[in-house]
Amino acid sequence: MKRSLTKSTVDEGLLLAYLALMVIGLVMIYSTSSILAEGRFGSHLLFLRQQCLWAMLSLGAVFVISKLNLSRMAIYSVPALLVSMVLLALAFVGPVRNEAHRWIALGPFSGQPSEIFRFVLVFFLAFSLSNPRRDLTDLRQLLWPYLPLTGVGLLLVLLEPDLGSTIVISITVVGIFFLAGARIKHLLGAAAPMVAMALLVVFGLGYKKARIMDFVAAVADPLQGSYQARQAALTLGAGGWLGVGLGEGHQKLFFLPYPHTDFIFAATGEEIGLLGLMVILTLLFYLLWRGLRISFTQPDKFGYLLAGGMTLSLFVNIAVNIGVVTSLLPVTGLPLPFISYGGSSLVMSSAAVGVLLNLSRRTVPR
Amino acid sequence: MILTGQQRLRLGIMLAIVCLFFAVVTARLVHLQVFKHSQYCEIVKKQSEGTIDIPADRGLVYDRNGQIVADNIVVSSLYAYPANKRELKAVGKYLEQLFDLKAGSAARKYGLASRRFRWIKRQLDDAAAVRIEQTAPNGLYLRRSAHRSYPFGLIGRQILGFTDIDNSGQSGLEFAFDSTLAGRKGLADIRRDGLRNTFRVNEKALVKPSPGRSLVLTVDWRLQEIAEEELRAAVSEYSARSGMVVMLDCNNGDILTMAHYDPSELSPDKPAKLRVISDQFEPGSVFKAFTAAGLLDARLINFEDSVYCEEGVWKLGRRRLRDDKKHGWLSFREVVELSSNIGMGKYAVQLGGDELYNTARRFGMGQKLRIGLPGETRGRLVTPERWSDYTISALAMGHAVAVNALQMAAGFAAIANGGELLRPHLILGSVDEDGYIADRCDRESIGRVAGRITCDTLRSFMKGVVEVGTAMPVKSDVVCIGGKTGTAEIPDHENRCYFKNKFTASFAGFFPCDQPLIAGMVVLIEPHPMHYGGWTAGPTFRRIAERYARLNPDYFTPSERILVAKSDELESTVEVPDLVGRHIGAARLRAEEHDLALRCSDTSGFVVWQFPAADRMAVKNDDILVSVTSPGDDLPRIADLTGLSIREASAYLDFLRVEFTIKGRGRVVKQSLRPGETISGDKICRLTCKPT
Repeated sequence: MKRSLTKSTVDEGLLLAYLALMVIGLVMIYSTSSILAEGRFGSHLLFLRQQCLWAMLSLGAVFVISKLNLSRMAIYSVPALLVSMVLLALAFVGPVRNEAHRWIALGPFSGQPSEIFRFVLVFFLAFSLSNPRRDLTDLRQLLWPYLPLTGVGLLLVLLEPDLGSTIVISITVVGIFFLAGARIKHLLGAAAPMVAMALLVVFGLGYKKARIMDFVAAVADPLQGSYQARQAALTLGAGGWLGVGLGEGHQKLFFLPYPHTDFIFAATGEEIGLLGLMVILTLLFYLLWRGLRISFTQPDKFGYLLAGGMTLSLFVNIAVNIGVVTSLLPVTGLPLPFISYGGSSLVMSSAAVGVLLNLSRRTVPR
Repeated sequence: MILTGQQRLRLGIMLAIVCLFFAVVTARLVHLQVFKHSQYCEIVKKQSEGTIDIPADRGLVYDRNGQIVADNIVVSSLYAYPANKRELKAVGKYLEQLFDLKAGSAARKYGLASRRFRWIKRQLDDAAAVRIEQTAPNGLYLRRSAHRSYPFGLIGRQILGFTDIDNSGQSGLEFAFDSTLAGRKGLADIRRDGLRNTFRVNEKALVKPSPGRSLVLTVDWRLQEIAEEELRAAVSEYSARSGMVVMLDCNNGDILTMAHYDPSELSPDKPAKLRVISDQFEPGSVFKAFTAAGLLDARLINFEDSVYCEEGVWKLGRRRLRDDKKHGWLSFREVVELSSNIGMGKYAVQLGGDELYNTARRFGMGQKLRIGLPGETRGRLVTPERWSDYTISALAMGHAVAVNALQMAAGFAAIANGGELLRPHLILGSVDEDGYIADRCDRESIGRVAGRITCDTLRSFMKGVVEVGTAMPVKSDVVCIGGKTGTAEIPDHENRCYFKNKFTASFAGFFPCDQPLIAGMVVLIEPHPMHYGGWTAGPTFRRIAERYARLNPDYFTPSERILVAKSDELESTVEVPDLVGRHIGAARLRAEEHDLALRCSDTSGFVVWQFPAADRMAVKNDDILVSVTSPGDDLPRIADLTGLSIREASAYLDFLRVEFTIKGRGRVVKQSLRPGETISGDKICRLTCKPT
């Protein structure tokens, strides 16, 4: 009996959902950014052109990654993780945007190393935790070397400062340990001090306390929230069932902040309405479901953890972004995978899809 | 390897969490997008939509010749709206450079702040606006708006009024016809973005602005210019406190010019009122024309008859009525020409109070003419029941009644056109879409003031006033002028009497005499020391009439224009010979040939000036006043002025450029410079006068 069978075709449904989301993303990026681009840079196509380049790069990455033999390459995730942490450190000498060191520039391209770090970290954890010699019920083995490795990376991301990514990565890491079979009480034990620390920082030191208090009010009534939450809710509400029409949205005109990046979901909701958002949500859900399904059908623990981890990473990112936009979570800056403008987000999310497509060719023998 | 049960379970939990999340998000979206839709739509609308006014073009104003006298121009106003600290800094620096301010002072001076709107300078001139547009940093912007401009500057501004900075009328025509001129504002949908920039969604206006209507005035701006210039000259020449002028087309009531001039007036570019229609005064002797009309109309006058003018003083109860000059027996014509108060007073008594009152009413006294400008007064005419014994003779000579200049001019226009009182009007019509004059204001008759024959007679009398009477300086070689002078004491309301030395000098008349086209009035308030209407307001009227007649040769046909007709030959008048340049002895002889006496203390020297001037008419046995210089002696010597009227004495002293003061009234009884005394630069001649 062969250890695994390799199909020649990838998961077509996943691929189609991914492509559809990316096309919707490009359309919405143009719709929401053209006025901004025209006003700020004199070219309404600027953001669309940039994103198209990133999209082509992403498609290339998906194609290449889906062809690779990931099991063999998994060993390289260890040096890759170290490199990505060096990149994180490099971001502190990189360009400052929105008062944060989140970017490093390489020629005309600039990217967020935290995205790379997240992708590589998932890869590394899947590789490392799938080692059959590792006993995850043992707390020491659970902590070493993962706590220092992820801890240092997360600290760098947090100091950028990029609270959104820190949270997404943290939850993803905890989720992967959960999938890998760590004990619930260990996970809770690890989570408890983090939560305590967070509460202490927020309420004891007042860091972003206002934002948290705004959020608490906003869950019940988004109009009571911060400016951004309020405008996001108004933008969605103005859309109604069918939306005001593509390109006709008005909130993107400097009422809604970041209409083509972090709040693109709201701007989209205004223009194509609840039904349009439902299409996007369905595609996202289908994509995640296929991801979990691929994880479910993996022949080995490495594939199971890698598919699960990648899906989880995408899910947490999606959930935090949409949660923020719908005032269900406190405001934090994070792009919506596949849809938002932003090169590193699109490329790394696509890479995750590429990994899932790759893994979809491995099937369990029946 | 097949997944362990634990792994399947944990994947299942994962899927459940994903499902749960999507369910929650879907519910939330339904909540926001369906249930909150209308409420949120409203808020979005409120924060992003609005309407703005689209200003309508203000109507233009044309004069009767089609000249634009109130125009619209686009002006730029500078405002600051710095978006951030950096722009704020740049704006401050730029303004300091632009207006030469101390470094760092602009922010405080203009109250600059980030994201705050501040006007910097409104209504910049074009050159400055272009320069600023090219060089201004972000945060400084220009806003363009239409604004009123008056191509003729201050000329006619009292009629036009002015508009405020928001282009709405504040006085005069701009105020009275604001709704006509302003048109109706339009509305447009706008959208605002989050940076408070506004922009139009579609070019279609919600409500189209409808432009204001343009108006055509009856005023002839050329005459307005002449009148204002002459008025200004007169006020300074006669040291008057202020002056007014109004001229009408006497055949249809078109107002051709209206102006006042007061050197002490503040901000003449923002006139609050037009004194021609707002200021009331006692007209004095000009009113006698109306009294005379009443008398003639009542057929109370026999031209053969004379009235005894009491040699200058007539006791009337406790009061005394005085004439400026002693007169004995005068015909009615002479009473008008020489403006005898006593003669007119006696006739008025014959006419009776009620009839005099009715005559005054017929001439529009005490009633508003309603020409449509703000601030018009009705004047004051007391009904006979409330009169004292004296009132009838006072009213006959133009006291005990208050008028505005336009009312008097309208009355004279009625006499000039044969007896029809016309409503003066300022608006010829409005301009329709095709540029034609629409809503033409027609000639509107208020009523008849007197019969045609009465008016013809009166015109002849008033021609005589100019030719042989009190208004001889009004006589013109260019156009034949008829009219009546007035020199009224100004009432002192505080002490319930009249100022003894403050006069309203006026001349109301018409030209050309034979077929009058224009009637008008010139009023000078408190001219001094020369204060006679015939010598101050009269010449001003003449100069305006002459200049206007020269300007309109077509309007005044040659026969009307050139004065050829001699005055009616009067037995008692003689032509004054030309004495200038003659030796004093020869001059004396020549004067005697003409039944005139020469008044001069010198026995040698040559005549350099005479009064009345040559070719004027004088009454037989009158004195001719001459000034003589002896050869080798440049300094003229002063003549004996005793017995002369103030008018004669002041004309003489004016000619010699001697400053003088007048005390009392009537005739000169004493002069501070002895006759024969040489005159040098700074000597002042104090004349003491007494009524005789």
